[in-house]
Amino acid sequence: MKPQHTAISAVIVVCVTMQSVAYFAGTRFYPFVNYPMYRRAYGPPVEARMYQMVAELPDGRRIDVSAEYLGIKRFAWEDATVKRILAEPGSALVEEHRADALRRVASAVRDRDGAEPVALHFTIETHRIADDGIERETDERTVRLDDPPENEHPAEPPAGEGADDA
Amino acid sequence: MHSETVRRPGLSGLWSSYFFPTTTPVRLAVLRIIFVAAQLTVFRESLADQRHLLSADGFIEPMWWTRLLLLVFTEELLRTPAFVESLWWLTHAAGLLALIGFRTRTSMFLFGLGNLLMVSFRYSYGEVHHPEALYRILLLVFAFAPLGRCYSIDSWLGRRRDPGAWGPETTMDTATWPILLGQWMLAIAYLEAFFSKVTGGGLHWINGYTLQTYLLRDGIRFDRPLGIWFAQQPREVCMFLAASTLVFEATFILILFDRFKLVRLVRPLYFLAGLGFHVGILVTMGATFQQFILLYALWIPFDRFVGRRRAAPRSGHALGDPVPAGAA
Repeated sequence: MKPQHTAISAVIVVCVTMQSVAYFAGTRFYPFVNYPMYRRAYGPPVEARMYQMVAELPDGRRIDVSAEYLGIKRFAWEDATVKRILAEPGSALVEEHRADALRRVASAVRDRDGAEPVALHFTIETHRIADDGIERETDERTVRLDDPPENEHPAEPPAGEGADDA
Repeated sequence: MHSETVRRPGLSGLWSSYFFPTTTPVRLAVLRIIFVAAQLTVFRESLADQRHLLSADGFIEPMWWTRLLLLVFTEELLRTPAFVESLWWLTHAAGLLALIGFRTRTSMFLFGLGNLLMVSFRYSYGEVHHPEALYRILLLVFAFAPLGRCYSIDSWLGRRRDPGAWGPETTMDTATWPILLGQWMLAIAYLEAFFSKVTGGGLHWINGYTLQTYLLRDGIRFDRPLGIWFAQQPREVCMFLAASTLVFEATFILILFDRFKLVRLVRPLYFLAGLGFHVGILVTMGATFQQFILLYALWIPFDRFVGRRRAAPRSGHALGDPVPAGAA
């Protein structure tokens, strides 16, 4: 084999190997990444939850804290922000994630609207497929930011959602 | 008595005949133009997005390309508007040069590297997406191939010095490997997607409820009425679509083995299924894998349509086969 072919062959082998290893390594060696999107299976009922997060300021103003407002993508907004804030009380990691998400939201609201929010209000819409169309159920939750953590009433996160998006 | 033995090619010979056949540079050059043009237009990295990221406090989880740069530069420097804008403009200037084929390999390398760094910066803020990854690899890999041998300024200049070494009728054995590598990478990606679903959901993945859930969720999330409509159809429809998806992803790799007649026969069906699959998830779920659609161009025998008078394909040549040049 010519030296040039040997060098190119090395490139081919490295690329194919890295792409195969990515199945186990995730996105660590980007752009050699795995493709785990939509991997989870779900059973009945067929339902989807949509969220809205509104920050309440000390002067009574209410700010829609959307993904655009925070300058992040929809998946990061829902999975790494809203669901982490609403997660059931759990391990130290869960609480650390919650505190981090709350800190990021509070910081963004302070930077953009000049005041720390006193509460975050969540609207959770559950859309469920029924025999006669799509049923809609709405749930409201509030996380007061001036309360100690034990007085918060976090909502149960939707089972099996998240971490499987493109 | 004279006996003649026919030696069978060894592994090295098979490897060489597969990855390094003698061909014209036409397919590679056309793919260069398509991929670079698409990256400069449809898939262009947004400068506004890059600037917007600077408003964050800092990198959240730097990707390893970013970490490499952090060995040399400080984070403060990497996150200045001047650095971000310089990188963007230099990358796109290199892209334009790669498109017209001036100093093609160098400009393609800079274009590929610049795009990789920009997306690496973007994904260092805690969110990583997958659709453009394979495409970014290929942009960089192409820089190591003779992609400016025709349809380029380099070719125009080169033919004045050495007409035999440049232009669509010249032949070489290094113009096919990046195309085949791209095909393999796409097939491996599909196979990984298949294994992820099998290990993540098992047979439940084809229970119909799973696809209905994804269609409903993403249909509402991305305002896709067609996805919401599909989610409400009989569960058997989604069972069929889910099973078809798994079969497609698991067996796509077989179409690389085009020595078999059956493979050549079914290959067009796979392309149609693949296009339908990606267009389908785009319109029903907002899943933007357009780069994967473009990668199907790796199988188009452009040398049949352009530069044909001088370099006719061999008889019986199948879609995607490397074309021996100079036959006519």
